[in-house]
Amino acid sequence: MAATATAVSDAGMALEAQTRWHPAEFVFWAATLLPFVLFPNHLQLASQVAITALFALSLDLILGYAGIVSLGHAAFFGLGAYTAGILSVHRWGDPFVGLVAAMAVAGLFGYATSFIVARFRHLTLIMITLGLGFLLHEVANQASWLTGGSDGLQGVQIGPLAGLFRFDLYGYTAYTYSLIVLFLVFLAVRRLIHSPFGLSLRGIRENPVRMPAIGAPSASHIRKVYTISAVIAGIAGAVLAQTTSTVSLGAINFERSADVLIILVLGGAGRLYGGLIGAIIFLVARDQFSGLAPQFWYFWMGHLLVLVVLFVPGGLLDAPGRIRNAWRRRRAEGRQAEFVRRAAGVSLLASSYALLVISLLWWWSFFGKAPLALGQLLPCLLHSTGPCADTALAAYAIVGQRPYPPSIMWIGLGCLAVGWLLVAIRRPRAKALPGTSTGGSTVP
Amino acid sequence: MAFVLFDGFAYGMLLFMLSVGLSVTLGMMNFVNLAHCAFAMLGGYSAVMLVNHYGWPFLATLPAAFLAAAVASVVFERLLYRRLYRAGELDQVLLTIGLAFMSVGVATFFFTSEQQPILTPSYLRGSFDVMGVTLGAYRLFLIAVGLAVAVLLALTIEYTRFGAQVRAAVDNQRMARGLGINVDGVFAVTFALGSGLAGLGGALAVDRVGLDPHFAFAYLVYVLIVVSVGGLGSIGGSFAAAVLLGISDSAGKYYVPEVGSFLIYLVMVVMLMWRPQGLFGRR
Repeated sequence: MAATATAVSDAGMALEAQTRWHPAEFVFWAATLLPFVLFPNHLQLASQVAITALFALSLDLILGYAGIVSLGHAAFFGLGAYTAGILSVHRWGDPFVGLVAAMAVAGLFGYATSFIVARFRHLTLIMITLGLGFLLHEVANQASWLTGGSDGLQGVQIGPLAGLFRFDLYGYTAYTYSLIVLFLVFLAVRRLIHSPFGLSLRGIRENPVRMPAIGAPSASHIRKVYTISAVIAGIAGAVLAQTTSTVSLGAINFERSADVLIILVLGGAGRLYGGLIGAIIFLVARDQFSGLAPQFWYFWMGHLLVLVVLFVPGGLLDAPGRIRNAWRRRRAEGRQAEFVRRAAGVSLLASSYALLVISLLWWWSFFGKAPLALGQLLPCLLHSTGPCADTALAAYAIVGQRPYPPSIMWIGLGCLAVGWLLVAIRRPRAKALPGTSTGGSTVP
Repeated sequence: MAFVLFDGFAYGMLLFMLSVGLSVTLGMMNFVNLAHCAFAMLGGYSAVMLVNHYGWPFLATLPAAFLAAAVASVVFERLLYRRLYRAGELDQVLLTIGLAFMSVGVATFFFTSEQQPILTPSYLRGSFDVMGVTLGAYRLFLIAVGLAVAVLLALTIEYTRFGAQVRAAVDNQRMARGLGINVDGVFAVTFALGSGLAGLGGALAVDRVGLDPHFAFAYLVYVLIVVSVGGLGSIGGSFAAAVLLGISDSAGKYYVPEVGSFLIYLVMVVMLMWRPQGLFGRR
């Protein structure tokens, strides 16, 4: 009896320890105030980041915690945005009214569709969410008398926040508003996922058939969390509509659903901060490469997605933990040197890949327009003499573009060779007995 | 009326060729390949390149488009897809969406985001009047190719040793493995065949629906509808679903253009809810 009581209180303490605020969390939230001081010219961007983070948080609830893969989550975001926008067109421009209405509309639609979502899993669920997303997009596109169709909603007039603060050009009010909303929703979500309800959600993610056996009805739990997630997505959409005073089909299209999925997976699904970190990286990168045509931007996003799925399955936030685990395992086996060698090899391979990609891009952007055949251009990758030097000089003189340095390519190739050597060498060891661990073949 | 039926049937044949490969590979390996239409797009661009730049006759580019898509798909299957056969569907969706996004970027880089014109030979450009109905020659050609592909596929699956292995692997992959069938090998061949057919469909689609880098996503929804309505791994089901979708899409655009694609998506969602295994699926 006493032993059970201790076990229960131990488990309780372990759970409590999980819910405690980590110092890094305070640092993170304090850092969200930095844009006011450091980048006062980029507050609109910061506001976009906060809104996207909120949207990613809502997807995280259903995808990361309950294991529901949705390819149409932009439907709720768009519903919220259009609700807030349409209300403001009809002179209900108060932000709070719009927010509450957006929550209600998105929540109602979420509740209605949650009955569908709770019944299916796997491929059928993916297709149904995709279909619902396209359905709502088509409604918004066709009902142009209400939504403005492909031209976007005209005449969005948002009133001052709390009757006092106007949404200014620099985005002071916008960022303050979206940050406050993000923080409040974050607190609520944090509380939710550490509650017994949140724990049973994780159980459902792992095995939806067994959870009812221990008293957690999967279907009704999924309905609840799906509705909550829809409400949060609606809030995010409404805040975007209000802070930018525009609503277009971009709020509800497939790209938005795909973007938020990329963001969450990049940061780490099933982690509170995954969507937040992912949103920061994604949006800041997009801002930096805003000169890039959208198709090329999506090329690199797609490329990133492939790399994340193949090499960092748990997202960026999961990577430190995985490395730590690998280190502990190797240390327990007394093979620290091997860990260091492989880690160095893998980082060299990664940087060689980045260098080779950069050198190829630079080479093409520099020599691509030169009046030389491809056969003459290819050697320019590796050395800068002969026709390469002439072209380089001419281009430098005319356009002022920095010439492509072949050394990048050479450094990249060197990293590739050394990294491959470091990873490929295996310590000669006795033939492994069947059943013994063959550690050392997994990438840290 | 007759025109809409004819036009829809021709469109349905196109959708059939685009989607039958995905249906079979999904049924066999449960691998969610959202990059399927990227292979179709590859076929389309190969045909456009060969006709417009190298002056190949249009008919000769069709097998070339098939081959290009099939070869590319084998490379991707061996390098990337096979690593994720046992992973969850989320990882598969992410990887293949990533590949589809990349294909859009690559196509834009080489061919710009403009619509690609293709010169079809003169004998495919005219039209015939049969009992008061105007039948476009290209649509007739589409129907002929589609029917030929369907018959060939049905015969292969039904009467050859390879077809028997495919059916066994679709019905029960583990049992098929247990009987000594090299499921991975069969899958690789099926995957190549399916992507090749998508490439052929892509080449044939250029003149009917146009070709730009967004092809990889624009037709993905149609293909997924065919697959989900027809039922995984069912060739007859894909055929029926493609014809149904082709005719209803043409009819919808002809009679109620203001509704747009709305009805199609609605039918897809309702159909999935009613019969998640598809109209003709057995599982």
